Amino acid sequence: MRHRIGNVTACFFALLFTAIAAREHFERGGPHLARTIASGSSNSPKSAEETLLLFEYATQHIPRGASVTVLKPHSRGEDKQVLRFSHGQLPYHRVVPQTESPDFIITLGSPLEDGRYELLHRDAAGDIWKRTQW
Amino acid sequence: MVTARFLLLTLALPLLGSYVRHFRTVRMLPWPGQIAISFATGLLTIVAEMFVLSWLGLHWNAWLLVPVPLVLSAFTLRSAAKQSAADRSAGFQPAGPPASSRPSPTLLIALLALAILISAVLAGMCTSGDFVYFWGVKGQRWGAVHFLDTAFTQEPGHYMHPDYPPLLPLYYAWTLLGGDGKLDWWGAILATPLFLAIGATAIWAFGRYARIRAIDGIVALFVALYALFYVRNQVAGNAEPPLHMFEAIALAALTCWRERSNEHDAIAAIALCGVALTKVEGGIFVLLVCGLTWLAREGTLRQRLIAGTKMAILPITTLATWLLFGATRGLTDTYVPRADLSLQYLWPTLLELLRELSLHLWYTPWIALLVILFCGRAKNAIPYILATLLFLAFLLAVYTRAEPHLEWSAGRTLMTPLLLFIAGVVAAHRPLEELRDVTVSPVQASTSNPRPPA
Repeated sequence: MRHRIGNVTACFFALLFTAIAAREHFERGGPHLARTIASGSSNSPKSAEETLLLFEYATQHIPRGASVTVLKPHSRGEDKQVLRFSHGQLPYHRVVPQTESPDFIITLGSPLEDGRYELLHRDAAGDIWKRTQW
Repeated sequence: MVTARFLLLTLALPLLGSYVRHFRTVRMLPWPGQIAISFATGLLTIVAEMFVLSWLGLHWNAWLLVPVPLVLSAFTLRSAAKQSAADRSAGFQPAGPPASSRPSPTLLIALLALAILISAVLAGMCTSGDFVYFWGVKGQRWGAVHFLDTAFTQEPGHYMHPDYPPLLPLYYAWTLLGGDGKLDWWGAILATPLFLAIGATAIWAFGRYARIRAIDGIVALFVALYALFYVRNQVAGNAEPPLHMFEAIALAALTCWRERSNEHDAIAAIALCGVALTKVEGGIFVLLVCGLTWLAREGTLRQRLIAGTKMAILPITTLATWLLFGATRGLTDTYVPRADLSLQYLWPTLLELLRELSLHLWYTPWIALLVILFCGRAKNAIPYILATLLFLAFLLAVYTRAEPHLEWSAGRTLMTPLLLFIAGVVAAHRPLEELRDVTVSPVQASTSNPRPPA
């Protein structure tokens, strides 16, 4: 009898927690295949998705082995965080600190104001700039 | 191609770890349990090899990593049939589900919860920030250079948490073997439901072996709870899922025995090595489990202490090895006592911890587990409840500071003490010695299962 009560309790709460998980899943969009791993993140999912898509483009179009840095021109306080993230999203490139002047710069949010670089690509998350003057 | 490689190398792990079937107690488990234990053993073996090679200053490759576990597994496979026949003639009976039973509807709840987790992962809503900031980055970097690159990891500008144990990034690095240096980020987050499924399968298999009648319900509850936590706390790609997998295997091995309380000690020791190499708090878990579970063993004090000490040697050595590696490579941040630890913050932190213990589910997980616990023999659960409380005391010590911010991470760190408590519930439902043979189904009973020699 006691075992049966234990089993019924376990089943009841397992169902309850499964229902809560389902509800939370559906509240945040429900089943679908996201475009990026961060498309459903709780913090600004649209921006996270666009940023990852920009990095994907950069991975495919910036020559392998080139030096790259990433920055937010109007939010330089985030340089360290942005760089951390970039090491993972640019696997074929040499990610360098923002203090250097690399072959390419990816800017997030706003354009780069540096005459040595020219625009290579622009999308919703930001731009990719190529160095043309030394 | 990247995904295919990730999948192939992940699926290779049970094969490379199948030498664990050398242990009779693994061969006695239902086959899903054998695969689960083989997966965990394969993962740990590969990671251990990568770690040792890196310490020796060698860059790994397939020729260095694969042969040893492959040869061991092939040898075990060859001798498995012979050993199984010997087991049968010695009277050992595999613990498969009773032939007369249908698939338990209770386990369908677990499958449903798992499906919800997979769906949430595919919708990109479980991905952890830590995964994209350092777990995945470290794995990709180490995989690209075929080396546990401490120089990159401890570079202050990279913020890679160099002191965090290496198992998960090394697993990611393993999946890059033979590739061009790019991690399959989707594969990595999809490993989260896999780790949960492996842990649940291990609990179920050990529970079936020990003839714990409530095990299907407990497993369903475990999967439902952890699927919910993973969705809610966004841990996909993080080290928590493999940590819980190893913890679940270790605890199931320690709690679910049939003949002798130390019969699964080898499996528990292997899994505890995995715990020690997965997360910082895993070290505390290892110390608590090794320090307390001997209380739940059978025999005289001396016998229990000896058995407990034997089981603890491998995991404690593994933990010490990692700490030594960290100390010699300057990776010791987390282990240095914090300067701002002060008793004046204790009370407010305790109150906050008590609030977080509700798990934002009105304390219902604890209430449910308590009810199930008292439906069994609660006395069996005492060491595990003690371990739960001591782990909570450890968390209290960690969080006791001016701004504890438990809301940032308590949802994740509290999953380990909850698992210890679940282990207590499992222990409470282990049948009495004299009842164990009574619970054998008529089909099993007819094949006879005499007790093996002590």
